Amino acid sequence: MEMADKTSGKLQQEGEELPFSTPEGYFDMLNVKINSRIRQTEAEETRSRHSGRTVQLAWMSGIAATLIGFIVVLPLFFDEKEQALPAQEEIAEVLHQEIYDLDSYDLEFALLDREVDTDLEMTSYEDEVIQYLLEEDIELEMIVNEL
Amino acid sequence: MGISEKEYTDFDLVNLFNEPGKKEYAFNLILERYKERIYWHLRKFLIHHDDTDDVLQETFVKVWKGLEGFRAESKLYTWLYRIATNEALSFLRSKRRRFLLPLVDVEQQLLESLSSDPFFEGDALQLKLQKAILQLPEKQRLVFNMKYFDDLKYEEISEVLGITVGSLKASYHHAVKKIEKYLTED
Repeated sequence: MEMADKTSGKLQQEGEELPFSTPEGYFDMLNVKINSRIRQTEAEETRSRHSGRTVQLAWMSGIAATLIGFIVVLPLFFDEKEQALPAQEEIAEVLHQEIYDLDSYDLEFALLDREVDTDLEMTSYEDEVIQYLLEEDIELEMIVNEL
Repeated sequence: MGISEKEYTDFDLVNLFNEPGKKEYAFNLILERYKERIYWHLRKFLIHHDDTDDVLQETFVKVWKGLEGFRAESKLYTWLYRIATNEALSFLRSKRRRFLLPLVDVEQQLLESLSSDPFFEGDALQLKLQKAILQLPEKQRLVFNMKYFDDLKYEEISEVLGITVGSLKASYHHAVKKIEKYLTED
């Protein structure tokens, strides 16, 4: 039944062969062309991801600088004892008020990975803050989780 | 004794693709098995070799990216057809946007250039048949090609296009009538 309506009348006479051809050897070279296009696409995507990452890192640098600034300034509002060691809750509270939508991985990456090509330029003062965070075992992951 | 390349089922090839270190090997076997079939599916729809070549390559780039997530709920070749069809439709859409052409004019362009295409080898009757097919709306053209030339089952076309079998039968019937009318007109 299905075949009955497949071809009928005038159309049946035309045959089902295709009147097209391809350049000589086209199919022989096709695998190489396609594999090469895949490599090219992947390379472009990697480049694009890297460039996106640089923009993201630049943005994260700003956030990180703000974060560091707050961590440094915060102790000035407390007495000497507190100034030496701000409580984790206080840090978390400031972060909660001032910074939203942070990704812990990016934050750690921006602060700690000094080898990465980024706009993040740390002062020695900021280095001290990071050192302090590390020595006090204040994990950035924990800070971000508080947000 | 190892299994020979030709003995691999599509299912085997998909599994092989997901095995560590076998990805490229399996992909090239799939490519070898389906490249011509998908090429001709696209060529019937896009008419020109260069356009077909471009869309075919893009189709297999998508296959490479998507094969890992392919679940054997549908057959591999209907999945390939679906990707190729979507790529072809998207190609025509972007061509229309690029040249600010209305829906019918891309087909009109194809129609006009068909007879001067160096890779068109048909006689006058075949040229007329191709022109008749190009008069059809896009989806109807796809249905007609897959049924008439590729002899796919309605159930398979339904998987590719996401159209019910009933609609496909009606669509094919209308397409045949239109083409026959075109062919009998002088």
